[in-house]
Amino acid sequence: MKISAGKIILLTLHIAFLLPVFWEDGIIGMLATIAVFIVLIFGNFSSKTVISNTNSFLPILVVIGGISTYFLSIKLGLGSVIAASIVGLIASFVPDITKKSWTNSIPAPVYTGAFVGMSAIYVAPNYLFILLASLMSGGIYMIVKNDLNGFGGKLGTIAFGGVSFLTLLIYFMK
Amino acid sequence: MNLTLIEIASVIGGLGTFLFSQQKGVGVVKASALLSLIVGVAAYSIPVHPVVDQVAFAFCGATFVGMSSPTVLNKYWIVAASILYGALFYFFAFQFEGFGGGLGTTACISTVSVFGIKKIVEKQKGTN
Repeated sequence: MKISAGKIILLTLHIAFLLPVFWEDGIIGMLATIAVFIVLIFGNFSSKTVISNTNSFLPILVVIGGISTYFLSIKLGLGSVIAASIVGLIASFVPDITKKSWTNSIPAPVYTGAFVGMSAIYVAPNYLFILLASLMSGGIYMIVKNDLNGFGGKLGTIAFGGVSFLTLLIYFMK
Repeated sequence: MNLTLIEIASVIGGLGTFLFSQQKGVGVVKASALLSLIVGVAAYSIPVHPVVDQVAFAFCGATFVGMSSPTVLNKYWIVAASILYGALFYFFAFQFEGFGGGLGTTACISTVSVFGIKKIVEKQKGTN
């Protein structure tokens, strides 16, 4: 299997997710691994990863998914499972309704945003958090777009990357 | 939280999404979202109980396992990945409760791990 920057980023996020389980102080493990993740992004991003202009609308789609899910989940009180599935379901019908081939790429980034919007209010206290976390997830999406295709949970890992990365930034800024 | 219930929900969610998404015209996003919505609404209509909520969350995450491509895992390996997902959810998911993408990350760890096991098994079969 060829190891690309995207694969390394996704697998590092998995380690960031699992490591705190085996660490006495969970947050230290998470922070340490996210720090490695940042280094890997900047280390591999410029030399090996190519981002085409056609991907530039992806973060906007992720933001749409994140904000709308957060609104349904927190503001309307539907809960995160119902909210994310409504947003994902609506997005999945867009290609069927429009009958245009370019809209086939809409459901996946919107569903990724929906996972960001599933965050609880004590993690994501406002729309600004969701907006920034969605933009970060959109950035990660652009980098790892061609990696681990066909593996279930890839979109959730991307969302987790955005949410945890922003949580880390806020942790250091406080 | 009951491990047996979580595992049953995980296998139904994973395998159900995988089989449903293979139907003509049904994509993985639609299959996952539709099944999650059905279970989410069912859990919402039952009087609030922590176990019901947990089972709905476990099911929703398991549908992400079922979003895997048949070229990566077949239905038997999807069942294995769903069982692993259920165990990870039961023992570790509390660690990142409230973090968006936590369920998907758990699902991805399960599918990548089972894909690795599948490769080892295939290699063993090839050498024998």
